[in-house]
Amino acid sequence: MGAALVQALLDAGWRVATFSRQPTPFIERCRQQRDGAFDWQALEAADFDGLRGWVAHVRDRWDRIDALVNNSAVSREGRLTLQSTDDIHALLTVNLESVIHLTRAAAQTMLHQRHGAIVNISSVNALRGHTGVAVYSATKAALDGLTRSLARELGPSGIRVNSVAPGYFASALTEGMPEEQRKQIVRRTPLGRLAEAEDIAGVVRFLLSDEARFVTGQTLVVDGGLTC
Amino acid sequence: MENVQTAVVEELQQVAELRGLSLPSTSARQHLIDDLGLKSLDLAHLVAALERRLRVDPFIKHVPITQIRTIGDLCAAYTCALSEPK
Repeated sequence: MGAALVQALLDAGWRVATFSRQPTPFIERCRQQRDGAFDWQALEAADFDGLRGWVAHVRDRWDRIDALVNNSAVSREGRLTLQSTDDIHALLTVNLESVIHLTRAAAQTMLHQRHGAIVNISSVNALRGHTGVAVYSATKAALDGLTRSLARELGPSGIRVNSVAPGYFASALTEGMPEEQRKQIVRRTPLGRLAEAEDIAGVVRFLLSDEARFVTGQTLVVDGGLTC
Repeated sequence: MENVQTAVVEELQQVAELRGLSLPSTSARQHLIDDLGLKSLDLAHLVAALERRLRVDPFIKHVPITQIRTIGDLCAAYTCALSEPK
């Protein structure tokens, strides 16, 4: 998902800064081929001071921050009564708390510019109940709440805030899913397939663009009609 | 190091100007809300501008924003944050 987002935004002419725990072959390729428009740092999402430092680094390099896509997430599936305290803590820290800290830092730069767009990557799990993902769902629903309140708070300063709620797509988060469950999801999806990461990235790119200049505080569901 | 009071007053003037507020003179005792007419959004803009200029945000860890009432309080908060080891 992260790679698809980076690729979509680079292709649209954005300069893109991102971070992750470790570099991937995709990141190495971007660093070699798109150095002037691409910036990567090794960083843990749970390192809140590091997140602030990263925002300062991006601002120092490119003088402004016009967009933020909050895509950090972990998944720890299991019934709530069987989940460990560590798993619950990891979900809340990475999926929610780190997003709030990163948004706080980036929004400050956007406030100064009086311009910016933020997209939070939510989930259809924020909208529909599913067994085994209660805490994950809670963090994603919280992001939708964050989206709506921040849209009110930052709108007068020219900053738009939206969220995108992807349906199921082929990723590390769904690869452990039993084949029969995957088939069932496809059967229930009017458009007849799982999402591709590029389906989500295209919608994010739209929300960040001037084409969406009058859209804020919304959650856009990208699930092939699964929840309609 | 840049003078904190100068930075605060200059950025305050910028924020006031954008809001159409008159700010003929300033003193440390002036109340940001009651005397100058700033709103919470103006304070957010002011803190954002000062973070960019002074590269520090006292309200992350050092001081609750609710304790800031006057220009003097604001200057003291930035002076304190700047004196902390990074």
